[in-house]
Amino acid sequence: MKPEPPRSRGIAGVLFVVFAAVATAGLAIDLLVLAPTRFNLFAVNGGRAMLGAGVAAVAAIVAIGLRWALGRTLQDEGGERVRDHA
Amino acid sequence: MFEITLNPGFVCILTALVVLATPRMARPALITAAAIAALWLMLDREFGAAQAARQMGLPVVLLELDALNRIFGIAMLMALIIVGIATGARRNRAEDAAILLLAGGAVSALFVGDLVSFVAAASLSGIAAAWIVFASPLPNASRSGARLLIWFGLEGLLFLVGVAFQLAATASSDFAQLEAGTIGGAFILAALLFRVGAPLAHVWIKDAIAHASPVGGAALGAFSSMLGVYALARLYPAEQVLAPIGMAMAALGAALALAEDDLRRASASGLTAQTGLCVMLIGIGSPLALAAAEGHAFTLIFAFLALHLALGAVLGRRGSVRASQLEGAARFMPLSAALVFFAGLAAAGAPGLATYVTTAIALEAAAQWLTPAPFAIVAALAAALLIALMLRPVLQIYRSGPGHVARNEAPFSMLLATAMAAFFCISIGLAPGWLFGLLPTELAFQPYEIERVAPHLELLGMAGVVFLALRSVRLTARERALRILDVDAIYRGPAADAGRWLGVVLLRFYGAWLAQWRRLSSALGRALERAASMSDRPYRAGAWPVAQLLAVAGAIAMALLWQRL
Repeated sequence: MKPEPPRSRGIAGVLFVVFAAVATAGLAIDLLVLAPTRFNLFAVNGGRAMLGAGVAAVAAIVAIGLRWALGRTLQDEGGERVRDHA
Repeated sequence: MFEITLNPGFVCILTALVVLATPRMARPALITAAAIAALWLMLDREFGAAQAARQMGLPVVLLELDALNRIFGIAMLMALIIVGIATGARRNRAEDAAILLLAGGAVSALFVGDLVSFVAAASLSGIAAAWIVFASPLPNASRSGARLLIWFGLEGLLFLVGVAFQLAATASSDFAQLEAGTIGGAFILAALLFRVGAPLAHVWIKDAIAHASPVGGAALGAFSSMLGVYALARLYPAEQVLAPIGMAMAALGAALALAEDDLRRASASGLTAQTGLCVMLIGIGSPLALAAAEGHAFTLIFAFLALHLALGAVLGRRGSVRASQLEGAARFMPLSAALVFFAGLAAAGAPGLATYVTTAIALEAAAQWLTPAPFAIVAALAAALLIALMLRPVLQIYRSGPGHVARNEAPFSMLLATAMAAFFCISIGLAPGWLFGLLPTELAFQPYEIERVAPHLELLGMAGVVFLALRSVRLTARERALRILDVDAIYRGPAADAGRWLGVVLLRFYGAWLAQWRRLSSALGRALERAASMSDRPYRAGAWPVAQLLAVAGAIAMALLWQRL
């Protein structure tokens, strides 16, 4: 049995902190400084944050759904395609 | 006297022939010199059309320079300089010539001033694109090249039919705005939608880029679909049907980029998605939207050139750019990994980089549309591509692993070329004024105003946080070796099988017919041979020679009698 590949907590953690800081700064300016304009999606302050969260959730669902419905696995041993006329 | 005007693209086409007989060491310098010479030729001219010649009653305008084709020309020729540097990383004479031919065809198509010349130059670039794939050393590249040749053959057919109808209807071959409602205009629009990778025709881009060599893939991304964007901006500005087509391209491209395991396929899908934004903006058609489309195409050329070169650098050393097989690649090649990280940010439109500037203009233009859909698409695409092209690769490449590993960095030429593309992304991002100065529309736009930057940071930051949070609880797709079936699975699977079966049946019919024909012709030959051999010995004893002699004597007697009468 192949060993579990090493986890990527290090880089994932760093990126999480960076993205959280960026999101917090952007959201704080949006909520505290900016007037609600049409550029904040649907004229709501913080709309862009909601959109970002929604896109991430949809991205996860789409990736899982597409891979489940249309993904075809490869033979890991040889790296050859199971059925590919490429 | 017939006079040939020197279109800047012709320099690249002529150099492509020279490159075939040039030693390896001189080829990168020659490609770069050709690009610089073409750039100089273009910048040295005033706007306007050069002298036109007439062929078969049609005007042939080989050079017509204006602000629209100049901005695309600058981007493509600068991209050719970068690609020329990257070619020093490997030895492939045929591919070097093909890259120059592709760039030359595309640049020639930008600057010609009549439809017939445009179709000729665009078709040349299509053939050269297929040649690039044929010249790739990767497995199955020749089959992919054949498929690409069929795609561009279909595109050329649509072009020719469209131009024929257009000439019959208007007797004009002007390379100016066309009506999609006319039959000629509809055919030409369909051909251009093939070129930009509209839904159902989107498969050729990822198929070609995934099978091309590291440098060839980068060249295909820079010179193929962007020619289609230019032609749409020239021929179909404000054509309403383009807006939904562009939105569909963006959604489909983003979805595929999120799911693909092969990162070059994912980046090609990301390019299709971003090209879709340009198509959508051309469909919106306001002056701001057209400026956004042209500017976005300009910045995309550099962002995706950097991404394709960076992924190509990894491919060259690791033999694969499947996300599932890239764990810990940063330990082997830290510079290439950093460039992948940076190029992913550039492709997604992170603030400070070139694509952010043009995404901000696109958001402003989309906000003026009747519905919020274009605005939501532009904003959502940035977040989706951040996840697909930056987060997914980086999380795999920077996985930690046990033990010490020897570094195996990409060749210097490849790193230098990628860094140059990245430099253009940064320089345009930090000082977008010179890009605005090149746009056909005069633009006073401040992309770094707080009300633009803060919401964009909020969008990207929140998308990253939520994706990483979902990943930490294993609610995102696990990276594993697979291929996503697309519409090409139909013609590469069942349709290919049916074609092969039909071919076998037809071959059997042909074989049977050939055997029958051989049997018949040999029987006929034998009969003739018998008759000839019998006629060859007329004085042999027997009834037949006597009958022959009597027949000849009778014929002579009849002739004499006829003469007497």
